Amino acid sequence: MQIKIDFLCRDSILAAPIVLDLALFLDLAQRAGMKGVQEWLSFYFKSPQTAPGLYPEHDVFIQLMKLKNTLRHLRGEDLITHLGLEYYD
Amino acid sequence: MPVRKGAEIAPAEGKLGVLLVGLGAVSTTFIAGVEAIKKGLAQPVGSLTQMGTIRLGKRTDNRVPLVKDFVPLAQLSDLVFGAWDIFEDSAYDAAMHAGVLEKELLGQLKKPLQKIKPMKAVFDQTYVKRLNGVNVKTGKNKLVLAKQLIDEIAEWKRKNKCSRLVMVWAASTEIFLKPHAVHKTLESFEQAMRDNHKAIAPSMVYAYAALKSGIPFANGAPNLTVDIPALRMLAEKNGLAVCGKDFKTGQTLMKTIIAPGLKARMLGLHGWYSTNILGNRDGEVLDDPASFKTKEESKLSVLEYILQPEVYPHLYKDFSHVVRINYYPPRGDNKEGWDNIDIFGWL
Repeated sequence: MQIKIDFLCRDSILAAPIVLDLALFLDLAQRAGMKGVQEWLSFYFKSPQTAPGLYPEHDVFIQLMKLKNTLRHLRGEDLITHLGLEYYD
Repeated sequence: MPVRKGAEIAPAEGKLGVLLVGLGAVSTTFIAGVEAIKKGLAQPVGSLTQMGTIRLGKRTDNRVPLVKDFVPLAQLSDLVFGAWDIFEDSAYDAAMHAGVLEKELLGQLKKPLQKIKPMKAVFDQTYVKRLNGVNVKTGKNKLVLAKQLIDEIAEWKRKNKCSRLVMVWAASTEIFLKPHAVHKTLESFEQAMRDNHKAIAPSMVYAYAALKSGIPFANGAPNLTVDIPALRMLAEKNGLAVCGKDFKTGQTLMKTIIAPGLKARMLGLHGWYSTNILGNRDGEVLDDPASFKTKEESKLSVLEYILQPEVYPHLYKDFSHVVRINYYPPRGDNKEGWDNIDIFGWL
């Protein structure tokens, strides 16, 4: 089986909102007292930086969950695991 | 210590200065977009902070605020932009030259864009062979250049009345550099800067200047930059956030969307061939094999990590992964990327 993709892509159009999000999230991290490598921002990078010895997460869906759970953590909200058994008690 | 749950977050008071290294296609499209959004001429499409929502609590709770209403982010109206570039063009001229946005839209944004004039860059052609510019700092060594940046940042912050700054690298891909012994400690790093050691790339001079100035740093290129022990330790010591590397935009974004799906269904992969044509400055720089090597490393690692061939040898052992980038000037910023993915399934 084969999959073919022909992507007429505008890199700068895709990169510009990343610059905005990173500027705002880095500023947020700074005000929240987060220091060093911000792995939760892996979502925006091709080669995410991690702590030494850790492999990076590249899967965009894992990266998004990591990012949103970090925001929930920062605001003292419960993390979302998508377990869902509680709805069937 | 990781940040604790529900930690106190200082309010986003005052102006946030966004310092951009490189005032090319990416930076000018970013600035023009923010100015257009502020004027109500455009929507922030593609921005998670502006358009994204976040579910809170149970599915039955119906609590789904916008990300920007959930965490205290700086307002777009509080952003101020500064940049360094090796060319003297204002953000308006650079945006016109880049040809990404419609001239008509740029015309409506001429006033704020023309005000942004790039500061002189720290640049050395050894690291980006295909570029050469005139708007460049001079100094007897790399530490002197870093000190010039530090003074300039302090002056810029005062003049623009900012309460906080962030720095984002949106400039070119440098030649491939491996971690070197001089990158191990801050002392050896600073000595190497004094010695003009070749293991210290211009991007590291910027990152060092940011971290010495108390500014968080994001690396939008695949360059080694802040991914070395000396600068990681400096960030920790000064309590600063850093992240990188290499903005995930086109083809790699698609890879990291599609590959997890194939793996989720336990479909096998024989090979993934990716090729691109592009005609912007990025393409020109990547036409140099030494810069391409840096980019290639960044692009190649993605599939290995997602597919985990060591965990799934029957599906992903020895798949062939080829990435090519071809500089083709007629296309300008309008890149075209082709992927051919050979997969296999049941029997």
